[in-house]
Amino acid sequence: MQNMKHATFWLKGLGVLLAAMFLFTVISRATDSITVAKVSVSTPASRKIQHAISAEGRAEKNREISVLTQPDILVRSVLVNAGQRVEKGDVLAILDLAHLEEQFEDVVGEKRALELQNQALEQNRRQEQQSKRKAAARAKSDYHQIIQKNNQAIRKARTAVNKAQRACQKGKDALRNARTALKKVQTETEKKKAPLRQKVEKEKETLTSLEAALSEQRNILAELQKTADAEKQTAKRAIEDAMATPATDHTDDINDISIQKLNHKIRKLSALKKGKGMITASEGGVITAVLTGVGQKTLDTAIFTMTDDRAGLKFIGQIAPKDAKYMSVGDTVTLESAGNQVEAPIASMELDENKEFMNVTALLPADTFSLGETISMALVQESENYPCTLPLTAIYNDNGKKYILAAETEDTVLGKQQVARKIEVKVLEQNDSYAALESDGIKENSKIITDAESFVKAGDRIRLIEKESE
Amino acid sequence: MKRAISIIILALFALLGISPIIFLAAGAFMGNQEIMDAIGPVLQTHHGNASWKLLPKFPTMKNLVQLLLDTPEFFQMFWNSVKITGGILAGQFLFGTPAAWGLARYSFRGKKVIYLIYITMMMMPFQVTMLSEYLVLDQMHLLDTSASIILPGIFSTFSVFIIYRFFCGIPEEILEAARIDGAGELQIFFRIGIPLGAAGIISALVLSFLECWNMIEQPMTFLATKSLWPLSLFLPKVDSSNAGVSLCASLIALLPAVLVFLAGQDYFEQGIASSAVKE
Amino acid sequence: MAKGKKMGWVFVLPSFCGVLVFYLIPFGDVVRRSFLNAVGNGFAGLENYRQVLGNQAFRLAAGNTARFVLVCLPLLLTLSLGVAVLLQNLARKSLLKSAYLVPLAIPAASVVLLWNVVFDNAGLLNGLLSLFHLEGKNWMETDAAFGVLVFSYIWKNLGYDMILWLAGLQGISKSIYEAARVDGAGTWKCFLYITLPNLRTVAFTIVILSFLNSFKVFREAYLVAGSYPQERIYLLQHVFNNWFSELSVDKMAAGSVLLCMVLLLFVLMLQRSWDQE
Repeated sequence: MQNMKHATFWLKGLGVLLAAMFLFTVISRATDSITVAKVSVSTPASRKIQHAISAEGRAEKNREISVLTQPDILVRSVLVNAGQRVEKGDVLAILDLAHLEEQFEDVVGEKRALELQNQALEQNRRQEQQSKRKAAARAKSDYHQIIQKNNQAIRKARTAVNKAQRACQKGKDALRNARTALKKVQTETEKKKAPLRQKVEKEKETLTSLEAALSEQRNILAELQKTADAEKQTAKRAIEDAMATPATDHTDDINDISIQKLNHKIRKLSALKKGKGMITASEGGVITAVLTGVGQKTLDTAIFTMTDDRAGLKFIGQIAPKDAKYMSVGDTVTLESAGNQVEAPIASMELDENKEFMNVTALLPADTFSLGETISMALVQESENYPCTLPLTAIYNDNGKKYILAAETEDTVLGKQQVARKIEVKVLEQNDSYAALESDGIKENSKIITDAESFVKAGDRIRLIEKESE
Repeated sequence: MKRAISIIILALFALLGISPIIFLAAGAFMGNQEIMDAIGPVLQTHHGNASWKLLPKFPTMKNLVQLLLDTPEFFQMFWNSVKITGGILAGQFLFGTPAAWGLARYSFRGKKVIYLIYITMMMMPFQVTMLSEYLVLDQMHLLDTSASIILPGIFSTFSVFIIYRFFCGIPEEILEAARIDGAGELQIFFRIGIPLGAAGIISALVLSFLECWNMIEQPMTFLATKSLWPLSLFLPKVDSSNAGVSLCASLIALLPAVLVFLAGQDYFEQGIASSAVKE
Repeated sequence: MAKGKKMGWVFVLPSFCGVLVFYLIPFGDVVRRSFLNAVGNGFAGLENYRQVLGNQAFRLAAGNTARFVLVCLPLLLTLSLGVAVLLQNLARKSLLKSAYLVPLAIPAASVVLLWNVVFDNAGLLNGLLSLFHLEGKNWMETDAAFGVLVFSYIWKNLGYDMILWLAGLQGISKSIYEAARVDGAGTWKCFLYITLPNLRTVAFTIVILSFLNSFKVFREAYLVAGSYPQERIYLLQHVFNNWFSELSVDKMAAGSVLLCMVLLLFVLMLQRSWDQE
């Protein structure tokens, strides 16, 4: 009996243990079902990644023109404001007529002064030319006189030389005769020779003086020729000086240009005068800026800028720069406003000054939108077809490394269990809802966790949420 | 004096015997930090030699609670063990008892051969029958099911042998008297055999229980599906992250076996003794 | 005893059918396969047996197993006999007895953790040894692993053998001892001349039971050291398991048959010892 009691005690213990184990089994299952994350899964699908870009913008004028007028004229009144619509011929501003007149007179006076100056210049020039011609004629006659005079002197000198030459020749002959005579009486006595010898000596002396006279005459001739040459040169120069043209003066030409300009101005001003100082719109449009004011003088730049009805409308909108890569000039966008929808190509894309936005413009077809209307732009850009795309919620990011969690059936102690397995992936392209992945390592039919009710990490057990339609 | 020495020697051996229980019991209530301080060197997370305390310094139920509340795997295996053990015990009782009765109380042609076969089967280690069991289970498409463990287990002849030894001890006169009173053979089996052989049956079941609860080779060989594994395969692959929970699991795994052992210790001893000497 | 030959069959048949289906017939198939080649269609004669016996791993394991048995059995038997004799003389022995039997109840899986902690290179045992300034060993990775295996076998089976011895001791009537004491024999003499001779038949049974039980030590060896443990504790069981996982059905079959035949020899001896009781 003792034995039995002993045994039942321990058997009761065993019973309690089993009961406790049962209880804890239930509890642990219950906690498990709470703690195990419920997840939604989807299989990778082949899909094109669409990038929807939308922007709000306005219909704006495609082109602006400026209204110009003569500068420095007092503005008497400005009749339009910025934003105001004007039709062709509408008066935009009126200039002060008196001031306009004054300006006109000023300009005319200026022109007159220039003309007078030109006349004076002409007269002066004519006089100068006359005196020059006289001086030249005088120099020429001087020249001729000098040449005549010198030629006469030279001729005289030549004659003197010739005379001296002839005398010299005579002296030489006489000497020769004397010497011959002397030779003939060689055998004679000295008494007889002596007169002859004397005669030879006398003849020698005469020749020497004759030769000296000749060389003197020659010298005089050379001197004369030299002087004549110099004088001729001088006279020639005097002629050249007299013939030289006076320094050119373009003042009159410049004045002519100024006069032409003034003429132009005068024509404009007279037109303004004729128009009673009114500045009118050349085209219908909207004033975009008034750049002058009453009492101010007109500028040499535009006094008004305005749009031009003839140029049509354009859409201007702004997109974020990150979207810009999905858009390029020439892409067709859909433009839509209340009741209107058209497609138009993108005409330009450029960063604004702050580089915060990308300005996008598209030309609007005629008669579609009205100026200033709010337009929404939409562009859906489709990528190539990616074989493996997943909702963006399936992509996890761990320090820049992208990964997905695949639900895989694993044989565990608890039976077939779904366990999250980490697969590192490379995102090829993504938009707001889908990402295209490199398909290596991802099986076609694998179940990828797209949504979890609580945080799931690799290796965790998970439960798939039943899908109603499948 | 002699007596004291013998008691001390015996006590030392006894301590060695129950040391795992002390070890596990202390470890189950230790905090993870304390466990790591103690056995960190073994797990190569700490230097020096492992140490152990008989009592936790800072007892905590944390690991136990974690095991009991956060580890449904453990319960799955626990109930697998219960299922396998329960199935085998029930089957052994159902098939083994009559067989033991038949062998013990009747003489018939082939009895000796059958008896020899049974003893031989009982003595064969699993490795000898592994291939044959595998072949037949494969043929029956039972591999990887609980039945692949339970069915061969039921026909394990060890329990038949134990019960047989006890049935042999029932005096023939009692049976004769019953027959004279007109009792049928079945009646005698149920009314006399089972009650008088109860000790043997219980012995056999206790021994079988411990055997089954401890079963490792069979499930390891025949069960590929982890969800069918019994607790004995909850291999304490201890690493630094799960040491505490493993200790708790080991402790709980041994509790049923120890409880059954304590409850049926006398039968257990009788059962073992019966294989050496006849009752 | 000889009543109702048919009834005997009726009682045995359900169980025997099970044994037939799950063990005998498939084992017959295994025997058949042990003579076939690996694919299982050609007759190979004793080729498989030759291969198994020549197999390096098988020889190593068979040697280890034999050594294990030779070391363990004497150790276990003497230890358990000593414990049994000491216990027998104690008045309140049930608590101690329980302590010795507990290891049988402790699942291997639970105890493996402890063995790891104790026998690791940085484990409790080496820690203990270092207290006495002894050098520790890497128990699981050197030949000392064999010692660990022996220890765990003895730890597990000490209680079992002790119970067997106690049963044997109980069979010796007290009157013999009393007579001897009257004749002036001491405790030691009583043990030598009364206890031991009287235990002879039981001892044979115990030896064989212990031998057969020694094949179950594989559990611990496997759990502690895995499929390919240290060379010294690579047992026949490991070989079988590894052949099985390789699906070498031919070797497996021949090995099974061989092992079965050896064990059958011992079973027959056991049978005889029982008959002698």
